[in-house]
Amino acid sequence: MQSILEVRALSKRYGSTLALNNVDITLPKGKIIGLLGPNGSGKTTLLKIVAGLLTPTSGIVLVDNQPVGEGTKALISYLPERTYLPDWMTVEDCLEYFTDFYADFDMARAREMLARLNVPADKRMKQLSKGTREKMQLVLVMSRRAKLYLLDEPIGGVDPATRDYILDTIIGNYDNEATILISTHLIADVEKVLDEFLFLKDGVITMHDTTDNVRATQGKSLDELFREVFRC
Amino acid sequence: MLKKLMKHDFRALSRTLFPLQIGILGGGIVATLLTTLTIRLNDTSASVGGSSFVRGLIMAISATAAVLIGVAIMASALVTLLLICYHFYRSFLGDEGYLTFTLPVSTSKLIWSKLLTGMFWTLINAVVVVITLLIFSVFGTTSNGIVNTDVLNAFRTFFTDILPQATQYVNVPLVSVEIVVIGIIALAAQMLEIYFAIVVGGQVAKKHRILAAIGMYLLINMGVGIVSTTFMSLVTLGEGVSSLALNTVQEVSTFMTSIFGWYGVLFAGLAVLFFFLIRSIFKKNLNLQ
Repeated sequence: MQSILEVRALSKRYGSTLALNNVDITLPKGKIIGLLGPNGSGKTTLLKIVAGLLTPTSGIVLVDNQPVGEGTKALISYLPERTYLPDWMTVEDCLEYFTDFYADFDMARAREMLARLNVPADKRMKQLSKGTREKMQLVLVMSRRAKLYLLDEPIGGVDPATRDYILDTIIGNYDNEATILISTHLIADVEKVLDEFLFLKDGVITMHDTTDNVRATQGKSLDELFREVFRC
Repeated sequence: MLKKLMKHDFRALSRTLFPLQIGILGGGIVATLLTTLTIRLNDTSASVGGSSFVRGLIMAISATAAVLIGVAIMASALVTLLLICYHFYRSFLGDEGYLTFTLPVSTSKLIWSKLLTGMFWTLINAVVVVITLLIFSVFGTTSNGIVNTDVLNAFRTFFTDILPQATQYVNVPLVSVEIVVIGIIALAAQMLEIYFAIVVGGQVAKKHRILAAIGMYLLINMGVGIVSTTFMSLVTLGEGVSSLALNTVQEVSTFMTSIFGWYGVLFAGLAVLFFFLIRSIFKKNLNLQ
């Protein structure tokens, strides 16, 4: 099977803290994969390195066989855990921005999702609630026909109804050829949509398997396995 | 892609800088009117004799307001520069960096866009300030009629007498082009120096990054000062050795033109250096918090 992401001997150090320790990952195309681990396990660091926002201390990262750079950024659609759209931009400005820079941005899909959210096009980001801004970012990210989606805590800090909306949006806009890597610690909510999962603990990948295999061989849900592995 | 980047950078900066320039122009016109009013009231008092308290009060308020507006206009250059720098900071080191650095665009183009739009707005600000000062000097400094004919005559004299005389000693078109080109290169070098200080400030400090950027700018500027002085001393020495016998005005003018040229080389070198240093940090050491 062809891989979309290859990470070899990746390490990242912040001062004396080792956030990622010799990580090796190979992710296939066309799968939804959970990057699971407790807070501070290195999930965000890994996603930021793949997205090109952090420089690794050592190791290699290849996205569709290319090193991280201008080329891979055209293939990756990244949703960070924070809101990054400028306050002064209107919804329409944001759509124009994404249209200008991403050849794979599907404007019709974005407008359809925004209409469902009842977000007026002339509203500025600062006029939207934090939750709506997060949804807006999700709409922009999921309206791209990217090869690799990196979603950092897309359901963290939102109410259960919004959680369902976000997961529906992810599944509803998922292209079978694309891979989605979702980072979260809310396992029960995402378990149903995952094909594979990675457990990340203290910067080390401790497990990489399919969710079906866990259910079949261990007779447990992913949530139960997570609680067992990461018990304090 | 550079055009698209510039379009969005221009839009982001215009939001604050366009109203600011309108404000400068408006403030200039108000200052002109207030100064005219002050001059006229002063003259009326002198000719009519005696002055009421109200007239004196109006004169004092008008004069104070005119001075304050004048200071504000001068300070606008600093405000323009600060807003340009803050835009750079937010786009690269703030949360917006998550948007900027995930664009499928080369690092060089990201820097070029910020540099060109920043330079454009700095030049616009300079033009607006000059126009405002012209309006003030022509319309706000006379008590006879609307236009100060002395100022207009001074301009006329410059173009009809001084400039033709100068052409006998210097190549005016060449020197004019040289000054404009060196001015643009110097502006680019200065802007990139500030951008570099912001980037280094962001690298060395986790918190209080703006403060760190100011500190870095002072340090870098000190280094640039030393390099510039050393370079120009060597150049002047080199030029001077072959120009000891500067007897005519023409020889002096050629010497000065050459020195200006070396300034151009110095600023170009600094601009290239800062550009590649910023690019190198973004490419090899980017660590967005």
